[in-house]
Amino acid sequence: MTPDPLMALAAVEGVKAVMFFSAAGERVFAHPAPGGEEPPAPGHWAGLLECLRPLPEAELVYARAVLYARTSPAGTLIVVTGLVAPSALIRLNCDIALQEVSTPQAAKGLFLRLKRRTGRLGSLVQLPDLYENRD
Amino acid sequence: MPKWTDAHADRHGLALTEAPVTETVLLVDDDREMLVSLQKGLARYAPGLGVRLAGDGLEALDHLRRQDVSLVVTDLKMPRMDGFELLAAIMRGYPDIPVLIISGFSTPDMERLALQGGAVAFVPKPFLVEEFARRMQAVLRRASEGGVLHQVSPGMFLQLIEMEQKSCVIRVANASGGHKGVLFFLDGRLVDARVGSRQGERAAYEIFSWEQVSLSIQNGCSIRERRIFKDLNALVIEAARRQDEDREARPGEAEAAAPPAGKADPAAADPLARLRSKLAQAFGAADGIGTLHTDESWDYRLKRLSQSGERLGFGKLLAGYLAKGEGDGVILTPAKPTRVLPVSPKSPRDRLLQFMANESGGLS
Repeated sequence: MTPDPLMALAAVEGVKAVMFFSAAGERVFAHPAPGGEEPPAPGHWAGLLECLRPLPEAELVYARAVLYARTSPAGTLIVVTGLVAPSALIRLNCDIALQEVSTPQAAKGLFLRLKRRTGRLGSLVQLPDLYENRD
Repeated sequence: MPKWTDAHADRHGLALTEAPVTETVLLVDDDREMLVSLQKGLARYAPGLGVRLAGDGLEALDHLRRQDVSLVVTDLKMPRMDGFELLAAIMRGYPDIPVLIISGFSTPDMERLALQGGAVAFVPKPFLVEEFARRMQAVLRRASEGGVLHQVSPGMFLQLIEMEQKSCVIRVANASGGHKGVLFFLDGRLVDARVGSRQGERAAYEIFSWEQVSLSIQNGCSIRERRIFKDLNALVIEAARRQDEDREARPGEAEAAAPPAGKADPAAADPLARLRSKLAQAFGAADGIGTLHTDESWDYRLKRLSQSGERLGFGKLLAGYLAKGEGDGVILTPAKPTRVLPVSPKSPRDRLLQFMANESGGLS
């Protein structure tokens, strides 16, 4: 899998962050908006992923953000958007991105590419800028 | 621009009929003899048509404020308020009502001005009443050329209009209260509404609070001023909320309207039944929506999703769609027990999710 479909997804208007977690729960891709505040501990995603893992698709409307999640055998793709975003376009882009990761070779390719580029898995990760409206 | 036809109605499982709603024409002229003879002629050539008479523009506006009128026929030269002023006032305040001009002093310039001002036709005097009646009926038929629907839920039908991106004028009659209103759609967007002399959002809220209505559809919408800027769904939801508030503010009336003892209205007492009622009002019989129910087996998972979201800075969980496979899924709102709305791929999922999120207070 190349990160391009994920970057295309991140470029959709209203999208604040795109993350891909491997089936083992490691965060292997993230494209956050710049300038985020101090991120919460990575462990906080674990609870969410555990709840989402048995579900092929989920869309969660929170008070300050909407979280769209798709799970495939390779892992879980999470898209965080503001309260207004083109959901049909986001779903379509997720379909495309997940098709690319549907073969184990493709997923392995993504991990290796990221590992080569960063030296270790997960170092691209920075949590998104979602905290500006915290009250 | 797509026209609302039998094919559209069939696709949505609706039956269009040709039957027009009851119509009233307002004749405006300072020549009393002319008015009376025209009234008698119309009784002969257009039986069943209600006829009202007014001596000038001001009197005509007074009629329009008090009564539902389907067509205005006006002379141009009149004391106090002439036909041109009346035409302009109708275009501003009652843009759905067609105006037909009659005049004994017509010039090409006057005719052009009248038509540019919004009149549907200009008829020079003298004329044959039989021919004039035919012309009037042709104008009146336009008001229901797209068909008439009886006993429908306005919320459901209007969302279809939105989906079809249709431009039309919809005349709404509330069977229970005898009220009438008009909705103006431009490319599927609700741009104005009118009930009596009330216009804009206020009128839309009133129309959306009517439960079973008859609708007549006129294809095309030549509205000159947009008065509604809110999304249709938001208006329907707000109308339901105002209706609830209104009921709560007038407990005496609610009690009076309540069913006899032992047959309490479940929607009034049970929040779930009230939500079901709001859903029915907003979405009608839309495809793919199951029955809203509660299921405590979801409580733990929703609590964890809500807690995780709060820790990540997203705030409280308001609602969620969870797929169960094969395209079917559920929309859940956190409550004790969790509220569950089964949905299939045919349902308007995004709007349902937004609706449920708006209705949810989240878990505290």
